[in-house]
Amino acid sequence: MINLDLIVELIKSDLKTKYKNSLLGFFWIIFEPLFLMIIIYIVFNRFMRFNMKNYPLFILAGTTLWRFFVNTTTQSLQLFHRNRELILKVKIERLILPLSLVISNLIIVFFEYVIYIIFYIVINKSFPFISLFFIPYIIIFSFFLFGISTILSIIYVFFKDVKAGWEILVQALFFLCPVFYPFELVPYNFIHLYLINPVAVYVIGIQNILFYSNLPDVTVTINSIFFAIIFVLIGYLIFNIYEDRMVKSL
Amino acid sequence: MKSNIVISLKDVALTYYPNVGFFKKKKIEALKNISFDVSKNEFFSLIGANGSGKTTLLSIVSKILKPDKGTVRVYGKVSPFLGLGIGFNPELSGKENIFLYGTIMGFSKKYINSIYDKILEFSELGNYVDMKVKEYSTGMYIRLGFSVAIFSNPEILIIDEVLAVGDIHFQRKCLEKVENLKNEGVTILFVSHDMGLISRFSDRVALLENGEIVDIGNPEDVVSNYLSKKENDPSKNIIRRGSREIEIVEILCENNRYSSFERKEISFKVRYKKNGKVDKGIFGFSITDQFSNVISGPNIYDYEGRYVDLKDYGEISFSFNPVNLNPGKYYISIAFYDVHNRFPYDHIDFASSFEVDGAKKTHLGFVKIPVKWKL
Repeated sequence: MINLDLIVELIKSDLKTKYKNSLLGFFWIIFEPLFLMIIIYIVFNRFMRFNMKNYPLFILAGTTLWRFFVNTTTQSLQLFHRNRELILKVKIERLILPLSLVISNLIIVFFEYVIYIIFYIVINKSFPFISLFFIPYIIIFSFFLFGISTILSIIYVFFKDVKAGWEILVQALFFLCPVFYPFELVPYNFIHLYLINPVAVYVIGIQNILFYSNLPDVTVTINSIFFAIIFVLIGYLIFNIYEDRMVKSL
Repeated sequence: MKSNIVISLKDVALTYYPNVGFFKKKKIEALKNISFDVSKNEFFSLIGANGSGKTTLLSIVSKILKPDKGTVRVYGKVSPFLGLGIGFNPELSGKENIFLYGTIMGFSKKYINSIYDKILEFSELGNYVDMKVKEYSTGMYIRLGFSVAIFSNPEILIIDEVLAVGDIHFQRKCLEKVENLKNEGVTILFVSHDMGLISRFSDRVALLENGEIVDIGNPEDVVSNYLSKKENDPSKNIIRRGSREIEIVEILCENNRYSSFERKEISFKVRYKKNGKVDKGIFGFSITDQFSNVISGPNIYDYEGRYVDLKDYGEISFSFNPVNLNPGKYYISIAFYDVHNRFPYDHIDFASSFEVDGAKKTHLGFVKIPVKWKL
């Protein structure tokens, strides 16, 4: 049913436009985290003397996932709107649009984490095989993103305000994720409340795998899978209910 | 008989609710009670003004939109051409876009590989296929789009005004291809504003007006019904420009009907008055159709090599014989220009009209010029 060739072509087209026109092209995938690392190192290890071992690596592990989340969701807001010609004038399976958006971002994030692992090996002089679990983990995270992107792109067609609202929410969420501070600093009383935020759960999970080199504990693993399933289900449900109305409103 | 019908619509209705605000509710009834059947291998056309619901109807038959009410039955593989080159990525080359657009049209990659050379040949793009599509002209863009789309092996082809762009040569090639497909047994649902195309190709035509089918039947009848309704339009908004140093005061029509039996000349009388200090000018008129296509534009200097000596109040008469002009309604624009024929003193488009009686328009174009045939 789902047209695989179309997904592949859409992703190719997306990635090519992203990197083909710039001078450095695909190397930006390396430069972006490298540049970030250097800045974090200078600011936190030289100026502020933050006391945590390999703090730049810690931040990089979290921010990469965070940027995956922010980029995908903000791009998804206007997704159906941007592709209205494709929806109104050609007969395609419309869920392919959020799907290929997520996969194309997933590919970029995959390479960014490969670069991360190279940094990790250089700094720690060791390569824990457990790091490779990041691959299934970001795929689980992609399901979550697919769900939330579908929901956002549908809501945007009816209420343009969701864009401004989402941008504010994302900023708030940022401080509710352990990207710049370790999760251990969150007071015990608030942990359950804190873990309602799905993005925080995923950030903790990826830090476990890539920074602490151990598998995330049972709660985090179960929550990660749970959020992915729930959001895909909600997204699929909303899409099926509102698809026809959305097409008419485009 | 029943098995011969490939598209069947019954009581189809669709209403849009455009987002105009949270509390205000607006609704547009795009389609109301549409029912019609199209049989296999028929060339069925839809005509009507912009906003009459043609595209919405095509989208419903293509299963892109779902109707609010009614039933839609379509038997066979549908290829909608509601726009060409939809989903092209301008940053990519023509070749890359052939694959992108092909998969959007539902082709497998394997199939595109097998027809790639044929697509390239049909598009006549040659080496341009390696150029980025954003550097293409509109014509090239459409050519690429059509060339890919036409290989979709449809049983039902839905075409919405997509042939209107592009150069004449390629347009004819597309029409030939569409005709070939029809000869192979493809059913065609067609929308165009080009009444010539509609009359030449269609087996049946439906006229849409505000979301309803008001007329359905053979092409000549429906097209002429549509044109007679539409023809009232241009004269409603007379376009007038010029400095008014010379002003047209009155246009008197002495005869505005020509038939090949009577052969009485069409004749008009124009009264003008002088407001500024001009004593010479050029007077002329032009004959146009309802789309302001000029058929002929005689003026006094062209014909007689002299100017009009302008008086304070004066009148000018002219008459002509619209020999060989196809039957139909025509419009007359009347104008006074300066001696260089550059600046209008007074120019009125659609100032008056005349009719040429006769059988329904069967001859292509405006005039039936005398031809000597040798067979």
